Amino acid sequence: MASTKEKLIAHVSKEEPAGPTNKVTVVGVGMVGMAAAISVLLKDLTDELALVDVMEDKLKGEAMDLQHGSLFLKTHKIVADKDYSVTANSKVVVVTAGARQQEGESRLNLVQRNVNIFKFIIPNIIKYSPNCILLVVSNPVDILTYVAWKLSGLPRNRVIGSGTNLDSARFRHLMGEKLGIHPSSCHGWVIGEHGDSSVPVWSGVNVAGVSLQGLNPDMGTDKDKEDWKSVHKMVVDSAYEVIKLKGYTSWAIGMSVADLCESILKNLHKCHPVSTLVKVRFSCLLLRDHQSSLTKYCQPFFLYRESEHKYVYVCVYYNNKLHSKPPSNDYIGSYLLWQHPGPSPSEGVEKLFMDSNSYATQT
Amino acid sequence: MASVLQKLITPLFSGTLEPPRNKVTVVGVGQVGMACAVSILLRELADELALVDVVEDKLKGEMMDLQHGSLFLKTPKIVSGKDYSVTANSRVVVVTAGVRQQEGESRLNLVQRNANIFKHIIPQIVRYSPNCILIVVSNPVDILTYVTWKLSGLPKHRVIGSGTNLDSARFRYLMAERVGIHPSSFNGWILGEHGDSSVPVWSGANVAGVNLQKLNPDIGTDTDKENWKETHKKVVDSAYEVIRLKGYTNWAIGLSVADLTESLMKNLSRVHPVSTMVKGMYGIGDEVYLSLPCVLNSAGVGSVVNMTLTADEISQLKKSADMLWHIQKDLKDLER
Repeated sequence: MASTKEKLIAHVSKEEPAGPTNKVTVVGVGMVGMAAAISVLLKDLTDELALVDVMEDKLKGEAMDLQHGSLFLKTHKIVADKDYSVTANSKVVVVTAGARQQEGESRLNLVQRNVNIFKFIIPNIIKYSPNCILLVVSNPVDILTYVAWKLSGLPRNRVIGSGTNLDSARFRHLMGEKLGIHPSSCHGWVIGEHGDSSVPVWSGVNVAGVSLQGLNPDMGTDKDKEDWKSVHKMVVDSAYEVIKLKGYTSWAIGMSVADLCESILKNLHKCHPVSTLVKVRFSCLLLRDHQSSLTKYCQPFFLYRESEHKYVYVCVYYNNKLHSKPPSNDYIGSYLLWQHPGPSPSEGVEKLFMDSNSYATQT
Repeated sequence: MASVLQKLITPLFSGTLEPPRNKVTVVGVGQVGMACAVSILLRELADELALVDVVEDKLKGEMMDLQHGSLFLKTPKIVSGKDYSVTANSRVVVVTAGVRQQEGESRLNLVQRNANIFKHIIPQIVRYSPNCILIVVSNPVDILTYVTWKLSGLPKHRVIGSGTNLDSARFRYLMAERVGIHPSSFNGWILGEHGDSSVPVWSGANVAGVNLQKLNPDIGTDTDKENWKETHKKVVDSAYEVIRLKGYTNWAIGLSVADLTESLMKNLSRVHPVSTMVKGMYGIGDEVYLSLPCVLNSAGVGSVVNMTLTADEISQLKKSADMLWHIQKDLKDLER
């Protein structure tokens, strides 16, 4: 006696359809993870969505809730499990797992808590999706992206941190409010560390190619009558503000993650400000003379100017030998360099930030 | 000394800006309200979104969080406030305010708690958006849609309850899974009361016009060997199950509300199972709201599809109607 299904449907193709082509996994079904999941679903980006977490009931409940909305979506398969095998063959894996930033807690304080969690998560992801692209969202994002990269063994181009994508979105929103223009027509880039010390690139801020700094040379400085600098300050304070009001942030970061996923999955070649590996970043101090008390933190270097734009550092201690004088004629001064993050020498000393590409030797 | 704005931009039009044409308000910024808001935003249905609630910090935080995503959206204005003046000129108002169904609590137990909240909300909404269409989501939805209709003084076609739109979506999902197709290709309707006594119309269940009941005359009955009735039971239990697992449901209801909003905003005349005033139909003599297949367009419920129901299905509807009226008749102070 044939079942209803057998009477209704006659199979045409004998083979099962091929596996997912655009699978996205979200690790962590907290507020951020679910906001990312619903944004990815509503943008029709993927043909399979996998959710992973350690809290099994919550995980199953969230998956069911999304599945019940399948009628309104174009994502055929939504799966969830504590076991990472459900994440197999993902193109993009969004990592939101980790402890949440508490009110008043700086991002750097979260580090150790989240590193321990990642030691379990990342190898499991790679085991089942060795060709995926990792998108790290958990805070402090820049450090945890580094951690994820190290734990994954993936090449550096496949590990991305959501970074200042959200900071830039907030900046562009605030800029849009100030000018009465939609954020997508307001261009401004916030780069560097996601959070307190992010860098707004004022020279790049423009509308329709018209540089705003060109119209207002004081832009971004303390002298600026229009106080554009406070726009960046508001961006930095945003997360803390929203956390104070509603307990956490979710929607904006979720949408920004979906925006990144779209570029990755659709091979769009769009430019986004995201956290990526820059070799090693250094700040350096110009020393008026050799201040040996500071050398316990940092490695002193000699700095030369090799060409118009290229600066070269030569280490004072090289192969355990102390160079008592600089080895060439274009010597500029003695510098101390230290790596971010780290304790910085005392104030009152002039600070210079130099790009790592000019770093020539390393002990 | 001209500001950056003045140097950058030459205004061409300096009159007052036109009011929004496609404004949506969401009342209540709990999990359901925010899921509705995000779904509406990501579906690009509104040119202005207003959020209202009584908890001011949470309200402001949610508004800011959405505004921070405005780069990724096509809704240029997102406002919020405790005062209903922010909701002025809305085309659609989604009411999710109210207390949440507790684990194990039946929907009917929520009634009086939510009716009292509505006495404050509904008149204010109508005051600022007298031409709006109200979608009521708060549970127990059928009773609260009746309460809303009474408190609003609006004609009945402009007050809708989300009703069995979600039950039908869940039903179509579960049935489609069994058959191996997408839910949108499986047609099935659940009508009547949203929740425990909803009515699956087995005679209408079909794929590509092929009626499942003709293939299996026992479908939906207790004698059915394949136990298709189980699927309807799972639909009824769904809400309780998800609440038990994660504490509340929000994503599916949010998506279903966005679907209704789309039909209303775009004047689509699509048919949805939503809660409407059914007095005079199927022998029902009381003013109750139950879900029937309704044609939704920019006027609200344009018309209702006359389902061919079996005698048993009609009696189930009547029973629900009686039960709802039994509770409704005791509610006080509903006249505007």
